[in-house]
Amino acid sequence: MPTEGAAATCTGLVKIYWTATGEVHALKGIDAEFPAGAVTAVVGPSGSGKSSLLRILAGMDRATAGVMLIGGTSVGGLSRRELRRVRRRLVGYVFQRPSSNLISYRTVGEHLALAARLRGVSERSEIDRLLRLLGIEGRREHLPSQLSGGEQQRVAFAQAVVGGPRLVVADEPTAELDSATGAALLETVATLARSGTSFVLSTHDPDVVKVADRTLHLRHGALEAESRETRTLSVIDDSGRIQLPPRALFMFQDRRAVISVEDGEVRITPP
Amino acid sequence: MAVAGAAAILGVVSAATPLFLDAAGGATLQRYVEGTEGPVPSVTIVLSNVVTADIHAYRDDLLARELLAGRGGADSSEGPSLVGPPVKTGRGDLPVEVSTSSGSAEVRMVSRTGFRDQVERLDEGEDAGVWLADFTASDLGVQAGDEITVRGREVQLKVPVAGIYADLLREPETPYWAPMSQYIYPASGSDTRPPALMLMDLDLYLDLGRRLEDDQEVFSWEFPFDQAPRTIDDRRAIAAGVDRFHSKLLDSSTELGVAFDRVNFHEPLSGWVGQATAVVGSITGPVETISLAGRIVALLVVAGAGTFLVRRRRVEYTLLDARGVSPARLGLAAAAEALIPALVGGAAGLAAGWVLVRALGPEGVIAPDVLRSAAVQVGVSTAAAVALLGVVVAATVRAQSEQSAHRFRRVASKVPWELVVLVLAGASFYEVLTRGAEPLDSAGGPPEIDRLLLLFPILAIAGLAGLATRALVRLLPRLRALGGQRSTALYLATRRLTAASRLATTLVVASTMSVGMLIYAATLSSSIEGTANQEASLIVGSESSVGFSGDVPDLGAASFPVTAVARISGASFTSGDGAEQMDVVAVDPESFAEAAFWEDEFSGTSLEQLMVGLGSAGSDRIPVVIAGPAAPPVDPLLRIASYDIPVRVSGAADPFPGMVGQRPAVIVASDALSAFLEANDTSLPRLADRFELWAKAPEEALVSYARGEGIGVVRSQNATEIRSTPEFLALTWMLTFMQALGILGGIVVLIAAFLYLQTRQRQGEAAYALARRMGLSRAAHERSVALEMAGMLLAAFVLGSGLAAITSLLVYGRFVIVGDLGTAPLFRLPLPVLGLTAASLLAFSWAGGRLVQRRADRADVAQVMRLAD
Repeated sequence: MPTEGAAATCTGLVKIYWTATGEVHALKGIDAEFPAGAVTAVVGPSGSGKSSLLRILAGMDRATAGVMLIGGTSVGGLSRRELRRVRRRLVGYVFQRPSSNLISYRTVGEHLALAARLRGVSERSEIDRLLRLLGIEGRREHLPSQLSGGEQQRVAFAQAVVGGPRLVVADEPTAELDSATGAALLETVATLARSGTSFVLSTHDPDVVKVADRTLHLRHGALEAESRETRTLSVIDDSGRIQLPPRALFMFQDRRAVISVEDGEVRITPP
Repeated sequence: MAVAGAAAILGVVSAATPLFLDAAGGATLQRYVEGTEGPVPSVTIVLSNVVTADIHAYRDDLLARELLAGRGGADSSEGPSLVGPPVKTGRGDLPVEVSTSSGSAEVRMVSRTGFRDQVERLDEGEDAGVWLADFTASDLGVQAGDEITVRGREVQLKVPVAGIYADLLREPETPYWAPMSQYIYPASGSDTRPPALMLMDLDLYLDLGRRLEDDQEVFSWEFPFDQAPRTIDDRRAIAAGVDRFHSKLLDSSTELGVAFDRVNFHEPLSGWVGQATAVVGSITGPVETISLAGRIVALLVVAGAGTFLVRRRRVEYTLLDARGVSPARLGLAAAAEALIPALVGGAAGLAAGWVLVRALGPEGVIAPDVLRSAAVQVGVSTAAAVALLGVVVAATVRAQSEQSAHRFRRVASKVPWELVVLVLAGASFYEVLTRGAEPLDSAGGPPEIDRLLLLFPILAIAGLAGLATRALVRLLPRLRALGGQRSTALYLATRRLTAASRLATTLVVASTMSVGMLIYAATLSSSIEGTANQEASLIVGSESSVGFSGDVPDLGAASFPVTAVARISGASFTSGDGAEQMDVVAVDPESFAEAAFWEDEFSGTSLEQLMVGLGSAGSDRIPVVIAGPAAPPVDPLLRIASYDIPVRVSGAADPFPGMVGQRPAVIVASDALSAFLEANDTSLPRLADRFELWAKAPEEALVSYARGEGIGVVRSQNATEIRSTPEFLALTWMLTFMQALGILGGIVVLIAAFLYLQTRQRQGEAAYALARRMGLSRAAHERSVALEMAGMLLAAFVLGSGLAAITSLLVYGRFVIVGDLGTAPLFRLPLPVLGLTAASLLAFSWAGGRLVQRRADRADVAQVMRLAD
């Protein structure tokens, strides 16, 4: 059941792509919750379904099945126009490449003004506050080509959070930044989260995981585990399925197991 | 740039169509009005009765008021003037006798406005009087200032001779004298000349007529039409004004109707306007078909520009889409951005359309209204192009915004749309074949050009080009290994070509269509021109000919091949199927082969051999060549008039110069025929309908030569003039229009290909920079781009010209322009056009390679590598 006040919730989320070689099940029934005012990291190997999950979370794609709630609104049945409104008002999105987040002929100030206008916000003070908060107030009149990669990505986050969306989704935001710039950016994310913005970040970067309040581990399109603080919990879906970690899987060469329930414990052993 | 280019094409097509049609109408009509032979086109009013000077003056006034002052507007006070000042003629219907003490002669009394300037004045006195032909004056033994006696039925009058002029019979017919030609030249087959004209002023003519009590007088007024170039609408207005005048003339309740009772009225303009309108109507369909194809190509380029725009601004559109900006809004913004380049392109297209029609199309005057209408059409087309661009941008962004929608696109891209186009092409061709309609049906009117003959190749080339390109895309990856291992440029070009993107293949299809349209139109044009030239030369006999009366004189040396020919019609064979009428063409075997038009396909024997056969003696039968499809009887007798001539068939040909239509002809040596006829108490001049000189020379040169030989040239003609019928011109203009569109489409596609390569270069800057660091030389990269472009364009050239040749081969035989002479239509590949096209494409490839390299040179390799790291 979704928690009241969650920025986004997904239940039984399935995403299937049809390709020339057949169907690809990118997401196989994801149940997850993205709390408000928290940073959630989504990790997993390539092809685990991170990008698919993030695109659905950002309202840029639709799930094949399941329920996706963003700010309490189920987006599955929305029309294109309504979905665009969700993207415009409720969700911010940050692409992986800094240059993909900015339009070459617009200055930093114009980018933020456009983002604010799209979100229905017109206060200049909000933009000034964000520029100060992100340490790029001196770059207002600069074009993207005059900014460093880190500055570009900070402007991208500023655009994403202006107007206070319910959720900001970022696809590997530090992947193209050096470690120092990445760390500075993550500090910015933490600052913004503390001011009430919810973030979902996909990443391979351990530094990102460190700043996250929760981490979702995806594998083969399924939610394998969820980490909160220092604990990592395996996820059991509605059908009772659970994913064994790869090191445990190694013990079951013929993919068969004996499950025994004794004294309040479930034991899985090779036959 | 692509938007401006496509808008320019749309502008050209939209503007050129109405401009072309209006100019074609005006030019067709102008050709009729300027008619190089025959009388000046006029409104002619003829009355046959005796009148006094007062009555004549009264009628003059009436005509001046009603016709000369008339206008072509709806209320008769506006619009163009109907006619110019009249040439007034008074003519005695019967000859009169004139005499002096030295002799007498028959003459015809004629008064004609301005006659003094239309004759060669040999002698002129101070006093008023009559003008006699030198031939008459010689018979009478008079000169200017003498008196002659004119004998009427009851009275004789003394009349002074005002001047002597050169006998008109010896002069070629001029437009001024053409209405009187039957009173100047002998009728066909007649060996006596008409009485010479005794010319005088109208006052004297009326006075003489009254005093001689001549009641057989004919008065006419020829009001000439303005021959200056005018629009077809102006001519229509003039024709309508003349028609109103004619109605009034026939209305006996009007003053005009009473004054001109039982009048003969003739004017050719209404018929010409009708014919020109019909010619325009007949080409409107095909021109609009070509125009539609041009518009479709232009709109495809606009659509391509839209997808190109989305591709170039991928980052911006993806970002804005992720932020929830609607595709419609993005499309609207793109359309707004494209508005100015599109307007500039449209205006340039309008100007180019005007220049195109003026430079390559008909020479007719274009009405200002039509220009305004063309501008409006350009505006509408430009607006449509801008709207389409917006729609394409919106649709492309929308299609990209949700990945699930890609499935539809993938499926849609696999649907072979080319098959649908090919089915339509096949249906068009089937319809052309089975309906049996001639593409140019000129029977009883202007030609009806079958628009399917133009639609078929356009559809066929588009469909087959699409299929061929689809096959190439599948085949190319397998050819990767064929890339040169020795040349870096060839290696790179091969790899890029074999991994060609969809956009690149689309460009190849568009280039193929442009090349195909150009070569198809050029092939048909050269084939039709070749066929028409052959047919016209067969009719004329050679490049030019002159007709004259009398016997063939001994011809002096000429600087060009010339030969004399006599024609006799109504001959037949008395044995075999002898009922068939045929012509006899008596030729000079010595000079004929060199001077007459000839193609080797006409006979299995060369013309020289046929002439040798005609000149050979050896039996009592005269050797002849049978021209035409019919097989000759054995040992035939050729009947000319009442003379049966034993002939021997020495050769056969089909067709043969001088044949009239498909009517068979017998070719005979004039010497042998003359000898036979003279042995039977007659002569060739007595039996011949006409004599002609044929020459491989311009008409003017032949006429000048003939006059120098003392020949009275009655008429002259040349092959170019014969084939330049309004129908032929309309068709060639139309094909020129199609070629021009092919060239324009090609230019836009070339620009698009260049933009594609340049954009790809910009997107691949990092790869280029990396390759340069790895040792790729600048020159090798430039050569590779040029080779790649040349590969794309030459593939389009081979495909387009090949398909055009095949499709034109299927239809070229259906265009018969001049007449059905039984000749096989000629197929002529336009080798100069093919060569120029290939050279242009290669030159563009080279220039494109240089320009793309300049773009690559602008990249800061260090910066590119830093961004790429």
